[in-house]
Amino acid sequence: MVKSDYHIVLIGGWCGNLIYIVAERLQDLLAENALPGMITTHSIYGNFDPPPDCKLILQLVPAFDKDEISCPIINVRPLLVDLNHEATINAVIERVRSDT
Amino acid sequence: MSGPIYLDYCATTPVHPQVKDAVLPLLNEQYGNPSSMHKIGMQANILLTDARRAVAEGLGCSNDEIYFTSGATEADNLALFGVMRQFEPGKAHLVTTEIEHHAILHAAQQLEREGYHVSYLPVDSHGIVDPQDLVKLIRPETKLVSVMMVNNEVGSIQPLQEIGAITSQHGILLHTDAVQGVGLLDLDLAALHIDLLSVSAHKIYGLKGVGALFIREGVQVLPCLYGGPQEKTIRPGTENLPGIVSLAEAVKVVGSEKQKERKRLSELRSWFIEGLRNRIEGVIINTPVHSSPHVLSVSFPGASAEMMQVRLSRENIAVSLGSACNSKEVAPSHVLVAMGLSRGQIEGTIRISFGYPTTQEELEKFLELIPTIWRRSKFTDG
Repeated sequence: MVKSDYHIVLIGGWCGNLIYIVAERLQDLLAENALPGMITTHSIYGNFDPPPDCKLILQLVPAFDKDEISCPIINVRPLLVDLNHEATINAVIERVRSDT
Repeated sequence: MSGPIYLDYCATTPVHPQVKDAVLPLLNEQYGNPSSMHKIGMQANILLTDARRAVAEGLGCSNDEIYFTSGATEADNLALFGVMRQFEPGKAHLVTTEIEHHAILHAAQQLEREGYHVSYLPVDSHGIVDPQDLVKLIRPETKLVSVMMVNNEVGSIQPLQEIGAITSQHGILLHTDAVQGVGLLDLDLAALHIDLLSVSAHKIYGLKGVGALFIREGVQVLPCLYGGPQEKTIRPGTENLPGIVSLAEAVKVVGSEKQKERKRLSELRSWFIEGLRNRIEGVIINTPVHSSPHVLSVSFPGASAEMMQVRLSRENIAVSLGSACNSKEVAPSHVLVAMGLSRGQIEGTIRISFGYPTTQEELEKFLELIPTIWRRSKFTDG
């Protein structure tokens, strides 16, 4: 993993272990593409406040609206059924690449 | 309005004040075991007999036909296993529906694992079974048909009269899970040819952990539990007297208010549906016209019901989901799947259910908030 303070938060709801599986997949993906970024998870059932100090929010559920949060938001829900969902993966990679 | 707005009465209900008053003395004064042969025990036994009489009167049957259980799940299990296990596996057939509560569906699946034959009746897009489908499924070895009275997710009322006529004509026992029906709908066990019926206290303003199974006189049911002589050995174990008294009182409460409350909730629900349609473009009402007025299943286009539930919860409004996410998958409701709803529609479905404390003021607050909550619960990148 490329060390970075580029903090990415993966937001989940009731999806149990799936959030960790998706987070691991995305973290591997960043490493494969030599991109910086540290992914942490955030359950909106535990805490509905927007996560502090994050640069990018990836949402498995539409927890935050763009007018409620200052950083970019990407819908990654398709990864719940397909961890290799191409359009979603490309959107994440392109965003991280352009931001870093 | 500062308190919570509770719109999840299908999940459970608050204890009615009249029920609470009836139960409180049993917690510290009348604590006897109805089986004990002393004054305190005999007083408890009198309360048990009175409670049984009240439940029997509420359901329109005799005292001897009421068997108290730990809830509707146990009552449902007792009905299915108690009837089917009298027969050899492979030589008995059960018919139920695709939209039953899991207390029925999972018991039916267990019977299948034991070698019994089970058939599942489909439903139409309104969540209602076609009695003619039952006729097609009946075999010489069909012993039991189990069809719920009111569906707990969409509120559809099943055609028990027609189903009862069919089962009666074929000499097949009929069980109904009446958990969501008994509080608001009229019930005539004889006219409907019902042989077994399950009820739960906590869905009708009683305590949790208690229910009852009506078993028509002459119908044989094997016990699922073994122990003492309680409930004529069909359901042994020291009686949960506070729970049983709560059920009896709850049956009285809903019985006395049934007609008035049915009319009030029908009008309130119609008004609420109109309010939703005026505020949410493309909103879909999944609940059919022929339904119990306390249930409303609504699909919000493009939305995540899960997020709507969270956002409503933040506003202190409680509703239920049309799908649930477990550790492996986002599992859509089997009821909505059986009705033919699309995956997207199911993901945007919430169940709103009403009770006697529900007011128009509460629903006005819901309607005021829902457009923003809906918009913010839609998937968008940005």
